[in-house]
Amino acid sequence: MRKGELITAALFVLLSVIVIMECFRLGFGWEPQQGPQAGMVPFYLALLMGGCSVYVFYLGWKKEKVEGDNFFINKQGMMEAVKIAFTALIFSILVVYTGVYIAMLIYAPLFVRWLGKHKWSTVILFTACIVLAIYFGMEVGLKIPLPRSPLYMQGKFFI
Amino acid sequence: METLGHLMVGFGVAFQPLSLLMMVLGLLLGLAVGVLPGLGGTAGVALLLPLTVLVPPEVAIIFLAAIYWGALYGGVITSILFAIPGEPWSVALIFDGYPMAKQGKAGLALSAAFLASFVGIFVAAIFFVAAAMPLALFALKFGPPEMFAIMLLAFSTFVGLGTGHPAKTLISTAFGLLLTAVGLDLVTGQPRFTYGSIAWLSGYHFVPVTIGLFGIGEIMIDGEDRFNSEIKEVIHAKVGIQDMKDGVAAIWAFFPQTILAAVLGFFVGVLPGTGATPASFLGYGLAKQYSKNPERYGHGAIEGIIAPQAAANSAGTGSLLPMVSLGIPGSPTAAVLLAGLYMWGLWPGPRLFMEQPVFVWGMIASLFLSGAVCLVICMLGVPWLAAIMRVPWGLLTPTIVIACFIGSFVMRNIMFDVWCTLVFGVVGYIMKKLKYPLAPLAVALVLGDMTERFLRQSLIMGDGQWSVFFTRPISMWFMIIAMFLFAFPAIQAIKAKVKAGKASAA
Repeated sequence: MRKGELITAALFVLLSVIVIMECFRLGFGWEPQQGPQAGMVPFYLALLMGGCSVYVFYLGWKKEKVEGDNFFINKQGMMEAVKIAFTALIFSILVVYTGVYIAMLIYAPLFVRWLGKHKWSTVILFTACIVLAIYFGMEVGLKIPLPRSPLYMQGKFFI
Repeated sequence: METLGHLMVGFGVAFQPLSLLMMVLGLLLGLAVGVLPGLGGTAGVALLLPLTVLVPPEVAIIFLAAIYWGALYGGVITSILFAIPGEPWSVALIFDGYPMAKQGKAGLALSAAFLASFVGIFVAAIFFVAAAMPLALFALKFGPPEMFAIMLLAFSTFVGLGTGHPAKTLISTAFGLLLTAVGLDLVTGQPRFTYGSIAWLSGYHFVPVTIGLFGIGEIMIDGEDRFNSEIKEVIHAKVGIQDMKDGVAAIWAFFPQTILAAVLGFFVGVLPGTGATPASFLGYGLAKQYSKNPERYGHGAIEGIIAPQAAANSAGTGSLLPMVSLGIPGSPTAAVLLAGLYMWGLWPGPRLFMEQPVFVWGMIASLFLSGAVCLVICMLGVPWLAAIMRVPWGLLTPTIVIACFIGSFVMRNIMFDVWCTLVFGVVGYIMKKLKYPLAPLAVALVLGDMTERFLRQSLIMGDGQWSVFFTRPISMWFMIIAMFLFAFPAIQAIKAKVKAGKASAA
């Protein structure tokens, strides 16, 4: 937990520094006839955030390392959280580059089989259900168009 | 009398077929969300927010509020039957609810909790009706300095009364406010923090960020926890007629405590940023402290279910009051509802009461109605609702993830929001693990733009002098209270040190 605490606090400090650098470009003073410059409010907020992060870092540094007080509950739990994030990353990439339907057709089986460890019949049934539910629910029922693949845009593919 | 007339108009709206239909739909969705461990009320409301543009605003708010009530009721079921809190505010119910269920009194525990929820909502709704109009009229006197001061007050309550570490609360708040600064500057029109990206010009939208923080982040936590908590004994239950009778009798026996918990919960809920979770613990603590036989608590005392539940639901209702009358959300879920108001082009505060009476009073009337309808659904539907828990994790999680991404995308139809959801999912996961409070972040995201605008307008009014906040009476008081709350943790720390010093000297 201590390492995670220190890294996160350091990242917040870094973020504050980045914001403050931008504020120097924008100006954070008082513009006569106009009022506060665009960077004023973010500048002070970044100072506040940076100051607090340094303090949190200091508190974390001071604290002794406690055995068993890890960031992740256990190795298995860590792998599970990482796998969820990893599959979500794949899903986002697919949504952006191939549209929602191809993304679902790859993501749903991947998750249900790899993380859920279900039978192949369940995998296929679930994937079919979710794709049809999204299509009929969103596009047919609520008339909200969802992104499709570039091939669909060129009229070369059906999704 | 005038209020009663308004309320009648409200009931007219709430009883329209479309409103009723959307209300029941919202309640069912909310109950499902409340039962599911991986998805909370805040994420549930945020997910469905984009869809509400399809119905008129007065129906949309009834729908979204119904999801919230459903979640407030639904968390009860898993707490009592499985000792797994579906929502943070139902943790207090485990202490006595689960022992009762193990003793074979699950039906009674559930019916008492549902009835307490109903009493909580009902009491809060009465307070709501009485206070909404005067509070909104009071806000008529507000100029930019007062508005800024009250927003500062909202943020200060997170620091002074919140549960998180004060430094972490401040980081969370500042982070949320900084996120809203990305994009075009409101006053000068300059691009800020965009680093040449076109997508960043329009800024971070509230919905994808919230869905990431509260949806994807929660899914990751839940996935990890799967290997920590062993499945406890699963208890099957049905609520029978006898349970309902006994439930009513129990509420009647502890009527003063129930009402007291509800009233207290309401005031806790009104305070910005606190919401239902602390109210439920407060309700539990008070009931135990003033009980004639406190030793029963923790072993299945029915009043240990009634008091926290009445307080939690009352606080949930109360958190909407400052949202509609002042534009200050009392809880993360209220913040999402406020974002909805802005999305539908409505401006909370006195003008809302004057220009949109149908909207405001329709919502208020729906408080009473959804409370009652939800009670009936819960009493009849316990076996089915408990069955939702048995949906395998491996099927439920991908469904929620897909819903989260599609929900964030359809808000603005830009791919940037898909990345936003993913990144803030990881951010939410890390922040939650390290106990950075997420509620101030959510509230800051909604209030950020306005906080900055009001601050800059006030400074322009005062010609750059901060004294503008202290020369006007209303804003002065808000500022003083806010400063006190900001300093409160430091004051407490000094007090503790002095005490420790005295103790060691003696």
